[in-house]
Amino acid sequence: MARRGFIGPIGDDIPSIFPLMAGIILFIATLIYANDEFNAKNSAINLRKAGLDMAYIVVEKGYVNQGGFDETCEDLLKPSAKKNNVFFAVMLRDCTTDPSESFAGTEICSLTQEENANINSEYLTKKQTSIYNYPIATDCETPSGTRTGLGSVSIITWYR
Amino acid sequence: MSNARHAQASLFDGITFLTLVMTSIAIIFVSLSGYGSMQNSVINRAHVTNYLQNSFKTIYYVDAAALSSVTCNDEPYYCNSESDCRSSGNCVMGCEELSTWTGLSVAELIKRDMRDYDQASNGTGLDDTFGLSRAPGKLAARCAFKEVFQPFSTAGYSYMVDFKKIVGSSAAQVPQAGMRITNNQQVTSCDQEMGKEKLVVNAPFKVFKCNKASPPQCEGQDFIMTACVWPTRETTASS
Repeated sequence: MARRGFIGPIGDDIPSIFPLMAGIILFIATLIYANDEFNAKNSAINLRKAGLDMAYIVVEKGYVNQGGFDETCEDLLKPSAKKNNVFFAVMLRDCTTDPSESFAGTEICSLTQEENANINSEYLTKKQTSIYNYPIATDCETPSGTRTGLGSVSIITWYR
Repeated sequence: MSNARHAQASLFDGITFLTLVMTSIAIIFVSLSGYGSMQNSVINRAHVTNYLQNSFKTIYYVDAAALSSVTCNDEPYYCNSESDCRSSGNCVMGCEELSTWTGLSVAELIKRDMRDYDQASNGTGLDDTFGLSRAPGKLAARCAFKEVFQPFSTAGYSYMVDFKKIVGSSAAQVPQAGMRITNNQQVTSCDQEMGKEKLVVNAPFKVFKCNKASPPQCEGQDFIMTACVWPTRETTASS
């Protein structure tokens, strides 16, 4: 009797090789993609956690003034940023600064890759950033003299 | 088994394997889409809690006079009379009055306003007066918290700040006369049910009340200052 449809011991399994290969390739591709996504999500979460850690330090007293922040900056904020492996900038806006300007205000503490980097939207465009804004009491220059008014502070963190 | 059937069986094995792979991939994508959402939610809540706590600290420093430029921006729920603002466009918040209160923080002004609060006589705690004299503590609080919570108001959240007096082991709410310290006048207290997204922060708030004896004898009264925020859409759904 003729062996109809018989190609050979290997040839018989050829049709099953295509779905097997497709399955293996799909599975490996999915694993690689999932791994990248998990890493990206973990990285974003760690960045936000690092920003929040620093925010707790910045708003600890509820009052920030430009001159009196150096000690907190050097002793607490910079070590915290180095521990979390992030760069950061703290921007202080007083009562006279336009709150609609995202990066307006005075930089009162920072740790950046380059010395004297100008922290603005252009500088941070290609970086993964996390920004926290808080209201803060700060010294404001008014026509009747310096007065403690309501300002805001932004804590910006980013990776390399 | 014939060879033709053997070929069919191996094809069936391949398709079964592909189905299993697809199921595994679906499970991976489902877990991937949910991964991190709980952590993000916890971080968001930690940020908002920190924001609320910080707003309490801030009012101890901010000079009440520095808030004199705050206006209600024609938003009725901030104005002294919501109905006047809606009907005749007379939208006045009255923060300019604070320009005369220099050298006094918002918290000090609130304490001065609450110093004459007598729970037994059903008196109004926050009524902008101390006895017969003017002490615009509630006004200062309304102006300060309007600015402090502006990002939340813009993002569709409601906020409220209220006070409770501790008497023994219980706490009684201090009434607020007229417009309350909130951007949602439907709400009278942070204790109201406002959905599961409501966040509440409490802080102790001590007010000293002195009598007219010579020398005056002062007694500390314990209050709790409470701030809460919640999505505005949940106010009417739950109240």
